[in-house]
Amino acid sequence: MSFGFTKGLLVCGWLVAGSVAAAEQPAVEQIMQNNFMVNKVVDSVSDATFTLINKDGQERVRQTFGTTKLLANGIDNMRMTRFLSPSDIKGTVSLLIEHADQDDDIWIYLPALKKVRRMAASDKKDSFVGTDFSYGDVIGHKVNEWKHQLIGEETLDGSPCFVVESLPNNDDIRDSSGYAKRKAWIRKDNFVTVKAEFWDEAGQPLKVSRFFDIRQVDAERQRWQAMRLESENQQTRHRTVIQFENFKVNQQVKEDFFTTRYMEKEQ
Amino acid sequence: MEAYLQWLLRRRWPVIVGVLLITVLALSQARYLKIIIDPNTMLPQSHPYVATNNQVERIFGSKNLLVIGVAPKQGDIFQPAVLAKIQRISGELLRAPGVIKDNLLSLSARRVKNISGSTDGFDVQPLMAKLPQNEAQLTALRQALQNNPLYLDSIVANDLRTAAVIAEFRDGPGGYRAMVDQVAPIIDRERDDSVDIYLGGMPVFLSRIEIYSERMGYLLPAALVVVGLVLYGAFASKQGLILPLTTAGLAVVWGVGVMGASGIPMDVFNASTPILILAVASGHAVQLLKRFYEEYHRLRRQSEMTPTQANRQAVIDSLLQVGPVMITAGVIAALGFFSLVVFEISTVKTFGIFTGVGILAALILELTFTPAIRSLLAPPPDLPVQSPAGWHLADRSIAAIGDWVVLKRGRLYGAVLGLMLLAGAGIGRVEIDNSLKSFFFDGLPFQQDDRALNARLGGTNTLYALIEGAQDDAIKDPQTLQAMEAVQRFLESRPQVGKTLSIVDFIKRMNQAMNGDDKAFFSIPASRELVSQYLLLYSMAGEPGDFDSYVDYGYRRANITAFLKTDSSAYVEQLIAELQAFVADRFPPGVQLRIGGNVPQSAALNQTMVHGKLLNIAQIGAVVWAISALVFRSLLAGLLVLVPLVVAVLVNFGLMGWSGILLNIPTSLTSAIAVGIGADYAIYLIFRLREELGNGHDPVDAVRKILASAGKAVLFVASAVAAGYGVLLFSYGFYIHIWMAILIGVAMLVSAFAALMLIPALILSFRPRFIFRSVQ
Repeated sequence: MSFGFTKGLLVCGWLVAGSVAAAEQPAVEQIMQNNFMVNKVVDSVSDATFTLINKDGQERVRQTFGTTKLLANGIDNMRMTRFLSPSDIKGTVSLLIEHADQDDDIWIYLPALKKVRRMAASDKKDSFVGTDFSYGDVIGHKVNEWKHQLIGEETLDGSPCFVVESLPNNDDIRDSSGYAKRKAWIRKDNFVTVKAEFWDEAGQPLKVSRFFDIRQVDAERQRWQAMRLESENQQTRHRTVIQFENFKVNQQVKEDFFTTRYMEKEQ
Repeated sequence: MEAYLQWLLRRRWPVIVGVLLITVLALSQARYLKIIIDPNTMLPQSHPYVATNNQVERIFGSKNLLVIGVAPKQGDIFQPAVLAKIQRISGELLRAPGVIKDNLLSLSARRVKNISGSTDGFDVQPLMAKLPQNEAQLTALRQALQNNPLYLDSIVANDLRTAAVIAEFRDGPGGYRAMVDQVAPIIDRERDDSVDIYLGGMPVFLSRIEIYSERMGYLLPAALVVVGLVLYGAFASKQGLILPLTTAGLAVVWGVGVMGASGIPMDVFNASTPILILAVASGHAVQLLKRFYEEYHRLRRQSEMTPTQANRQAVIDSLLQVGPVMITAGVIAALGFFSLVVFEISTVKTFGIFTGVGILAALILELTFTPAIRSLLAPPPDLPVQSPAGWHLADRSIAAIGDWVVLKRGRLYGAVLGLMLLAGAGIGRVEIDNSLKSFFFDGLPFQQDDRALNARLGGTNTLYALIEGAQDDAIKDPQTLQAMEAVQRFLESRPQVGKTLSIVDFIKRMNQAMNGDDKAFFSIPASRELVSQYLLLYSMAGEPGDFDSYVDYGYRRANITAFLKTDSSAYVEQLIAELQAFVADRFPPGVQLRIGGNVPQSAALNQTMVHGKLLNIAQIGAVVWAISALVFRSLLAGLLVLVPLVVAVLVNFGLMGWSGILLNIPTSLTSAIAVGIGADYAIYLIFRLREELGNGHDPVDAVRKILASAGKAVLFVASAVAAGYGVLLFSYGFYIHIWMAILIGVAMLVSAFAALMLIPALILSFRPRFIFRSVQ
């Protein structure tokens, strides 16, 4: 009881401090919250080219078609990624249904096997469909699981940015996210991340991600999306470039899209 | 020559100071010399095994494999304390500089994944992301290992009683010792009563060669002392003790200095080369010394000179007589050694340059420093009051040799012929095999570690089969995968192959997992698309770099790693021959299989080194023959000079055949040393015989006389150097030194006796014109 009381006091104090600071500029938690929400579009369809590049410059290029739909809670997404090329993987589909409070669901469909397989919940630190982005990077790291500190302001690619350093609240968060530290450059005008740096669990520099060609995709809800995403692993020198084309939102994407039954349908 | 000698003796102090200054300079340059093994300077880069190995290293990052085994004394590895050790060792190795992080294999390595499947599910997770704490987690780990047989015999023993950490190291400036030195404290911290921890792999042995070779630092001085003592016994004078050794020592220092200054790498295989320089240099020094004493006593007997005058004159006379011979012999030998720069293998080049420089240094010293010093020393006593201890035995030996040469030539030839036939039969028995393990005593702790690891796990040595298609995605072809699988099963059917690993193992396991974990599907799928989709699936579930050590980015090349329990080059050459016959046209058109790995690489090195050294012996022989023929203006003379050399080399190989000493890199180097010594003896004897015949001696008397003078000097030097090399017999645990002691010792004595007996005998039998020309 005394614990609950103390905690309540702390939360109050934190809120007060936050609102005082807000007189000048938003509190760092608010920045991160806005940042977390800025790409949560209601739904989307897009073509994307995934280019994976190893340290010797060899490339694997994959064309995909993707749809997303935000769930009722406004946080969790359903994401379907269908591979279009190269031809030997055409028709392979992955379906991710995020759950903020429990493990995500992932299904995979292999056309050559003609079977859908459910994959065990992956760690947030695992690679997102073989790229240098982790599931955590794509879904977004929950704001309240990290301690954020505004450590400066810089202008990057012509946009004034907040520079925020985030540390995991505890070792479990560190281990599940795979990061002992994150640092993000977040645009002041729209809260979109333009650059992020990551340190691995042992505290070694792990990767650097950059986000380009940031477009407003939903003016009403203030949603923005980078059309070009790059990430490089500094330890393996492996790089990923994701280039979106025809990124459209509010397309009334049907729930049916996100079922295992639909995965098996040839497009 | 005489004018020079007069000048030298007038200017002896500046000469001595000059020589000492050069020596100091050479010593200062010697600091830059370090004995390391740099495989890239030793390996024949154009050899197919080496080229493939380089390619595997470049594409898949594989390099210098070290294996650490942790074996609990009680029970299996599924104990939290044991697994914690594996986790800590892996973690610390990942932080150690030089470790190739992406290639580390162990239960806790992130890329070691548990592929699992159920009726509708599939998963790829790190095998041991967290340390199992309770019985259920331990059981789950055991189950995961049994479901993923690709890890059995690689990171865990088949009986689950040993767990391994397999780490690969980049080549670093500290050589192999730096790798082992990094690992040793990490595993030492984990040693306690509950476990045995073993360390194995090629770098361990190579680092031991580095360490044991440095024993030369004190073995060489000890050898010098022994050589000195024998010479002291022979001459019973401090001059006899000190001067030849000073010349030899300075020649080695100069040689080392030149090597250091010119930046020519000194590799471990040349650590014994100073002893060859020592042998050659003291050979010249003793000839001069012996002649000096002869001239001195002649002058004292035949002239009115005071001892000081006689001393000075003897210095001049001896050099006048022996100097040209020494220069001839030295230049012939030096040219022979310098001719080795045409070799591709850098260690042979280094050997040639180092020895050549050392011999030239010895010549220069004998023509400057030694006579200058000798003229300063007190003159020798007139007549030895008592024959020096060594003389009695030497005189008797020389007399016996004289009898054989003069009286029993037929029987001498018969005996030599018999010896040659025996040696020839032995040569047929010589086995060519290089194995680092065979260089060391069996009972040494690191040998026991290696044996334990090889008994428990797949093996501490590697063979790579690199599969390469004509274009990207060639590896995804089920036919290619089937052929790879056949290669793996074939390799595993051979003795000494403990384990093979390739992308095929993962694809089969995925096929099984995606089909409800049904064992019937532990096979390669028939469809290329399905293979591609499995690979995509794995890349989605795992991490981008997980397969980097098995398949390249474009799926054009794949690597099969076979773990071998032996590092015998003979074994692996046979295995490769069998494998190539097996492969024949098993792969689809355009897909090739090539061989690399540490054992094939060492086989390549052995082939090239042994072949190179045999060629090197032949080449030195040819150069010696050609130049001797030129000097004596007689092709026959060239052959005569070669006789002791050929006998020594044949006996050397014959001895190896009969004693079971393997023909490998170190012993082939030893044979090449033997070749450097024999010619000098022959040249000294031929010149002296010609001189004596020119003085009007009867051939038989001349032969007896040269045997007692130049011949005795040969005997002294050969026994001194053989005894000096004998010191290496005490290099405990290290067969390289012991083989060297035996083979060099025998080579010294054989070439000495061959020269002493056969040169005069053949001259008496055939009376060649180039000798008797001066008489007529």
